[in-house]
Amino acid sequence: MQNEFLGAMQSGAEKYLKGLNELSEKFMGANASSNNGPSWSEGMEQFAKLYGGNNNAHEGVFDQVMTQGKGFVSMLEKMYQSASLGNQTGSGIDFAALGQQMLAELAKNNPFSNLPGVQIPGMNFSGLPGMASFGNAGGFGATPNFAMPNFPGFNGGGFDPKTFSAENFLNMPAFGSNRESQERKQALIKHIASYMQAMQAYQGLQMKSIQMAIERMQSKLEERNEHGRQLDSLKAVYDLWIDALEESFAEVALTKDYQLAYGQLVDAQMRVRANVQKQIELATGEIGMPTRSELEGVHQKLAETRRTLRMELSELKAEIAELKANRAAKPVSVKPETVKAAPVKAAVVQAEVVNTEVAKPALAAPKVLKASSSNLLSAAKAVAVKKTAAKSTAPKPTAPTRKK
Amino acid sequence: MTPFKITPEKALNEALKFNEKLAAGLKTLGQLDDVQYGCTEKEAVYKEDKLVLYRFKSEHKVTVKTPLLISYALVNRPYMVDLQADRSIVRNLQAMGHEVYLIDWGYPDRSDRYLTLDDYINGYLSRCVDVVAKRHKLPAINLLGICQGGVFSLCYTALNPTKIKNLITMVTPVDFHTPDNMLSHWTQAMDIDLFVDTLGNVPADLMNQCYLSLKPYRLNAQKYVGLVDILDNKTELENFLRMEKWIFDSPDQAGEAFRQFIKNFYQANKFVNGGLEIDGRAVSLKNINVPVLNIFAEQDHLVPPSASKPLKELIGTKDYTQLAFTGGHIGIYVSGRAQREVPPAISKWLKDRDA
Repeated sequence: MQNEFLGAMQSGAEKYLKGLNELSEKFMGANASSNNGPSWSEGMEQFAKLYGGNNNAHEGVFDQVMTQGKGFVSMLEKMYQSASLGNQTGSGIDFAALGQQMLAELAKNNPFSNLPGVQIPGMNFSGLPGMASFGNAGGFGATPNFAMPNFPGFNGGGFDPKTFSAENFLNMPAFGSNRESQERKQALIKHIASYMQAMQAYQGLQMKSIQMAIERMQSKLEERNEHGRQLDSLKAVYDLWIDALEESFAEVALTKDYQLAYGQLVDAQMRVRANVQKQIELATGEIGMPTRSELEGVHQKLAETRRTLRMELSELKAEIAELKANRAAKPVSVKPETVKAAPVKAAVVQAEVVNTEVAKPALAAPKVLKASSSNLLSAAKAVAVKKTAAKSTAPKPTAPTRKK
Repeated sequence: MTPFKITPEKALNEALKFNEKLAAGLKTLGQLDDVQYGCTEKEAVYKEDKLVLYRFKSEHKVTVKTPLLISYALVNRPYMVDLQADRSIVRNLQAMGHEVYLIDWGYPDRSDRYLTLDDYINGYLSRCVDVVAKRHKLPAINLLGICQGGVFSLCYTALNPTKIKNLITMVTPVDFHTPDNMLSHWTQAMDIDLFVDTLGNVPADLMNQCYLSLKPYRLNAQKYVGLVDILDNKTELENFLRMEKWIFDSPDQAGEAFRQFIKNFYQANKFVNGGLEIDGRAVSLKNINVPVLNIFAEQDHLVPPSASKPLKELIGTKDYTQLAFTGGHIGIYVSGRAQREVPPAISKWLKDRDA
């Protein structure tokens, strides 16, 4: 029986490779498959080699299709093997055994771990400067050496339990000229240790959801144990498996445990990152480089200045509107000629001219209105002139309505 | 009886067929240029910082007096409403006589880190409303807020009730604490201050990974396996790539606005629980007394219907209409069904209130 099964497997593999060869000749004019009896998914590598990089515009999609396609074909191969075995024994595909294989596969290569960097939904920092990988800590790497602690037993990639003793090093009081530096490094190691613990807890929940998915899949398969409801393609089995995975993931992801694990992992990561940033800032600051904090300080001041300017401009506009309303309501008691001669009134006229010049682009621009800081400043100056002049000729306006 | 009706021969053929489709499809993929998006001609009518306010040029006669301003979310690009000729809410609304404007918030960089919700709502959005109103010499215009843009629109309308004639919210979360809201569930135990203080602006890639993680197996694996079925269809493939482009073409999030948004809405659920203030001004949805059309998607995994429906009970208006769309958060803009159902519903509702 076993020989027959192995024979069937051998025959299937040969057929598959022959088919791949035919496909490669059809589509590429080349021999796609290896002669060394690769797995089904390995046979697909040839497609990647021949097509990969032909079109950079869609490289991301290409990579995803190949990665997931290989995963799918790998699953097909396992199901094929299971179906062949089942054919020998009359039992069909053994999904319990298959599920355990898939669990092992997923543990190595699940949709989370496919993402480069930190293996947590929403927490992929691989693309962020200074966060590419942190050795075994995962997802923090490419961090300059000077930012990393230099303690026995810690090599930037994790801890060596033989030489590392948290009690000895992390709680050692710091003193002397390196006091501050040592405390920062001790803190960083503690943060990394917390991060690794948080990651472990988080991944434990991911694995729990996959284990639940296997049980769920068994249950789904039992529902198909009747005529008319049987799965008649490997793709249908795959889709059902995805359903089981998603449903189980959702069940776990909506628990309080997951919420806490997620929050703790994110917080732990942020503490590590913040500490590393701090070390980098100190080191670069010492050699006279501008730091992120300095730049953000400028940005913050700029944002506050712009906000203040807008608020004052808004208040001035409100005052002007009120003045105009008051003036329109009052009967004119002075002849225009007299107004011309009066210096204060002349200031008013001058302010209106400035104001009109500023306002014109905003009101009469044919297509695009552009609000820029320089416009705002000009407008503010113009309105300020007008406000000064207006104060000498009009009653004090009421307070602006907008609270700041 | 087993649950499978699959012989080894059949399994083998299926695997080979998959490879055949893949080989043919990859060849097609290699021949495609980068996809184009945005089909309706538009002109910029206002610019400020990175924001651009567009007016879509229409080939159709404008019959509806009040123009419509679309306020999209910050987390994705707004061209989703005008993705391609046969998937464009904008184009469909134009065909029904509407003048349509759209806010493009742009891509914030580090210099925008200190933009707040006040800057977005009482600043950018407010000035866009004023520009449109001024262009049409109207005291109030129609506002359509989508997703996070819907939250902004609700806040703006509550603070400026005389400036909006009719308000439409689309896939807009209002109650952030419903039990099926996975995204909200995940944010509850996070220290947002630590998060923003550390990251500054929130990177777009991180946001995208978070969204994909809501359905990790479907969106990271099954979607691309399923793609093989359409890989040999150039048109279908281009449609897929256009969507893919949109999904991953995301702006970073201005740090302070993100902090306030998560704290006020995701964590404190202040639309429901009260206490919401934008720049010191209290925001109460009870102040919204203009007509409101609330559209949500029945299969939305980002903003579940349960998060949108409570709007009815929270706003002041008696003229409230609700439209449940059969589809998801993205399908509501781009699916064929959406083109048939959503723009006509919006148009009719607005026309009935255009007096």
